[in-house]
Amino acid sequence: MGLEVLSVELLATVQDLGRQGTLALGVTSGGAMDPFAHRLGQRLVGNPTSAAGIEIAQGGFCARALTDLVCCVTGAKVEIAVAQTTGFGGNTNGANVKPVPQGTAFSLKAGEVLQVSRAHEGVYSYLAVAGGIDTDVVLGSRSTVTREGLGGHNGRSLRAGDQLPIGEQRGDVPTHTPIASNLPRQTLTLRYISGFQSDLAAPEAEGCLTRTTFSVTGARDRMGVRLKGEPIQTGLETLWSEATCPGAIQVPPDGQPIVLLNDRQTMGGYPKLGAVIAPDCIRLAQAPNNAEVVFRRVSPEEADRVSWLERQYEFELSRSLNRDGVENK
Amino acid sequence: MGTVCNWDWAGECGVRLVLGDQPSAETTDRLLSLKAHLAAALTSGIVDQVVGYTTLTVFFDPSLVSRDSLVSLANQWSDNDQEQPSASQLPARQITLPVWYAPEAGADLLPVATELGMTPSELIAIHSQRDYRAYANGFAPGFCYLGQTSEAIARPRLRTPRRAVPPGSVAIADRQTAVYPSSSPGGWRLLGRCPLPMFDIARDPPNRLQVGDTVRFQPISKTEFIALGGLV
Repeated sequence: MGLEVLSVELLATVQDLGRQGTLALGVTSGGAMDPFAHRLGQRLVGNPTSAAGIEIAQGGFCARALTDLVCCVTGAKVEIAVAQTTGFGGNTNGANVKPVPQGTAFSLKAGEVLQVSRAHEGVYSYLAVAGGIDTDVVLGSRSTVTREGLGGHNGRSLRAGDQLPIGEQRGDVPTHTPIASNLPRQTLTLRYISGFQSDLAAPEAEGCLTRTTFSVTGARDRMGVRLKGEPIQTGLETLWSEATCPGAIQVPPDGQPIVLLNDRQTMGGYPKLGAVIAPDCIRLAQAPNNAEVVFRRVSPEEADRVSWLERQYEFELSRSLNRDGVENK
Repeated sequence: MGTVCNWDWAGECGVRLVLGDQPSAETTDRLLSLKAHLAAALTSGIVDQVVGYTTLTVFFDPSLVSRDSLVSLANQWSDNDQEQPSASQLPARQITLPVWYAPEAGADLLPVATELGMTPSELIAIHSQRDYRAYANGFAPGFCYLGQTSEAIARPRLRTPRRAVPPGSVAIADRQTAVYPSSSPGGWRLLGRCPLPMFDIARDPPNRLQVGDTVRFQPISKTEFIALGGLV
């Protein structure tokens, strides 16, 4: 079972739900930037949600099935097509290209080519393959951290010619109507829990954070997203290095906040005013450049209620898949 | 001492416990003792515990551990800690790291010696004739913050960090020292290179240095560096 990468426009990496318990080693959590879309895709091809898939940043990805496969694309909105190859190098004949919908499984026969367009909306798309991408598990996960050369396919992002092993298909592929992606609106409210140096910082620092409308800049990657707005004066110097966390709102000396995400460095010395809650980190990761962002402070208990609701929504969604009937492949 | 635990949130799944303003061997002992206390008291629900210079950040699963119980466990430790004359009797490991100190191996050896008005041999002697404490693991896999270096060789970071520091580079910044485990960008001043891998996923644990270790650098020749597996 296998899949050969034919082209990658920007960045594609093998990801699963990331690593747990490795921060003390200095190894970052990593994992799908939109774990909701990733898990949905895995469910739609009958995999356990712990299986690994391919995360495609900004779309633009092409791969050929080396064996008969069942695939699904979720997350950022892209056009997907399956093409018959007419020769080496994945050359496709336009007449033999058929579009397939997003958010539902489709079959990709041996030799057929999957084409994923650039993203129209959202940033990260997920390609799930029944059986899962079966690269080696490193420190409990298949997620790639390119900065450390760790996990995934030889520790690096995918490029043309890479042949990825696919695991044995075990689960049934559910039948259902395609599930639309859940992508953020233009203005994004990031709920955050105040913490870290918020009490040590100048009293007006957190006020500035919650009153300012920031915008998402192009300085963004799997490590974090830099925002632009009224500079926040924390009045704090560099600190003794301490643990960072997902969603940490880091304020460097220029006052422009950076929200740290999955591939952040595990430790840092810049002041932090709090951390964006997990579901809103997903929305930020999927937000387009220049999107407007505001911060709203919530209590840890409110964060728990939000994650409970999100889990409930996901549970109902996965239950509805099974209610629609299961097709044996 | 016996500061009652100062704490704050580190996101919805993290608590940051603070034990002092300045790093010291004693603070690190206390952080390790608190870490062990929490690990023993909570057999499930703790996901990760990260020791920083003056902080212990505990990551937990809020569905398994209540925040209140975590904070009160930490406070309970603080109260007990005040009654104990020595915070912990954790055995500290002694680790020796061989270092090839040479201009060829450490691009800043000569400039730093010049800035300090000493010879490279004097700089090497001051750096290597001292025991360091491993304060924190982080930033990158296998990167371990060691302190404190002698005031006599304290130098600030480069104004513009290097785009790529050679793997194994032994470096100083302010009163800290460390080995860069892999090639990465870095602004610390480079004195030499250590031939031993600092992080190896085939080993358990993968990190050569653990927080609390006592570390000393041992000057070696280029020949020894190569013999120990160093790549020139």
